[in-house]
Amino acid sequence: MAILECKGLTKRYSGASLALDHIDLTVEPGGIVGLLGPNGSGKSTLLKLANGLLTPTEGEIRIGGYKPGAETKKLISYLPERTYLADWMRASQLMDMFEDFYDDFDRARAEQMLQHMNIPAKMRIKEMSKGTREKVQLILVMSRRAKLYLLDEPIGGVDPATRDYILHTIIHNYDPEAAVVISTHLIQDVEKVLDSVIFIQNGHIILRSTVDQIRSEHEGKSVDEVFREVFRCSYDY
Amino acid sequence: MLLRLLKQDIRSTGRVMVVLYAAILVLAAVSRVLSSFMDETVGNVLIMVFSRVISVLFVIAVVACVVMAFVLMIIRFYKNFLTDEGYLMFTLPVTTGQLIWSKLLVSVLWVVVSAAVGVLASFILTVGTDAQDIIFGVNLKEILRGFTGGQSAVVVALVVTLALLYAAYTYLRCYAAMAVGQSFGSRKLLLSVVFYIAFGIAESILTTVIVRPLLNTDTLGKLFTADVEPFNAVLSALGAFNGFYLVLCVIYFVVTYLFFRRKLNLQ
Repeated sequence: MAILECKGLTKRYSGASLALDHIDLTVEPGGIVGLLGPNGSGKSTLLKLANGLLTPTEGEIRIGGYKPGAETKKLISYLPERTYLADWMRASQLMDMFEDFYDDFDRARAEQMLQHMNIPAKMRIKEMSKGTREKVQLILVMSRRAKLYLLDEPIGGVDPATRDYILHTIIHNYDPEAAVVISTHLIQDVEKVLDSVIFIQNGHIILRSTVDQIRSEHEGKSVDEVFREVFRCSYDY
Repeated sequence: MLLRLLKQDIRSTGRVMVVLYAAILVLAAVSRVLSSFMDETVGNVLIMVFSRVISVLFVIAVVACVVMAFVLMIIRFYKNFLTDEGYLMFTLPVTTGQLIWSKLLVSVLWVVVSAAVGVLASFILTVGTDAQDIIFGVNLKEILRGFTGGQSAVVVALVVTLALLYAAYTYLRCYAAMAVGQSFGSRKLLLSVVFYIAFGIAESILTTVIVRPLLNTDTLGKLFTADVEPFNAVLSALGAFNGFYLVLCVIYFVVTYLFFRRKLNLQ
């Protein structure tokens, strides 16, 4: 059964154009999927709809067969594009909180990753730099043994060395039975970890393929090169 | 899961409230000690000035506590649900109802604790004085007798539930206004204020159109005539107020729930 399924999923923000336009999509368990598209293409909207942070205008979205709700939130580990950590809390208190609410939270793994990144567990969020906060958030998210990881721009605001560590963290910390969806426009950095990709633009899915297929069908070109070609063609209209 | 949310909310708000409560109790104790010094060293200007400063600080701390008990809880609701922190709170594996209940119960809890701290501070301020006998001797005994004496106990219980319901209503009206305001694309905070005012107007209309005519009907009107014992009239009035605020609480809770469940808009 698909872990993520969208049928005719549409989202219109009040007074604005369609953010998502009748999207049909399934994501199967196992593998890392790149949700790739330029800014404003609908990537974050799709992930927010999956988390119940927005409600669809039309159509439906299901996670593990359920509509977004308390049940689906046990299945999803979500990394938003923003820092959602309360600034008065310490990293250790956040781990307490995650341990309280998520049965699948692996505290030992979280503590180990904090150590690797030299982040003191007693440090308060307000004392951390923006990059460190993002790292703490990623550690919390990736320390869960979830069925579906939805990562929105996980490498957006960090330096190249940290990017490598984050990608290493992602590929070494997810259950092979789980699915990981990474939304980003920094394709060159993430393509080495992707199994398949979804190209999205103006709320429409314009390409769905495995990375191997893309390389064989486009004379060995990288996903990044194909992305640039596809979207350059679109801009020419 | 509700207990886990309560733990989280108490931890978050308690770090501010406990400091305020400690300040009130310490200032009450210092104020009491200074006033006893003043009795012994009449004419010492320094002690008199210091005593007055402490008294002013005490009053400020009490006012701050009352204001904080309300403002902090509303800010906590807004920040926790409708800013970036909402991305975490609304992705916790809990129901929307549990999220609202947790905030409401903790807010009302602090109102109750604030009242208890107020009583304790008054006790400290009046230790060893005649005032203590008047406030905590005679009056307290009367109140306690009221709890045990059949009919009076009902009145006391109705007054306490009315106070709790009024506190819950005050918070829920703010929650509902913010829940409706956030569902719009922009100017969410401004719209929350607009809806808060609109709810107030709607309540006035509701009171005028529905509640007041009821008081003139045979059923309720009779309760406030000279034929009825004053005690029964008080009971009826307290019952009616309890019912009125309970209905408002239910309405605002449902509005908050539905807007978070069906119109959540964390753009």
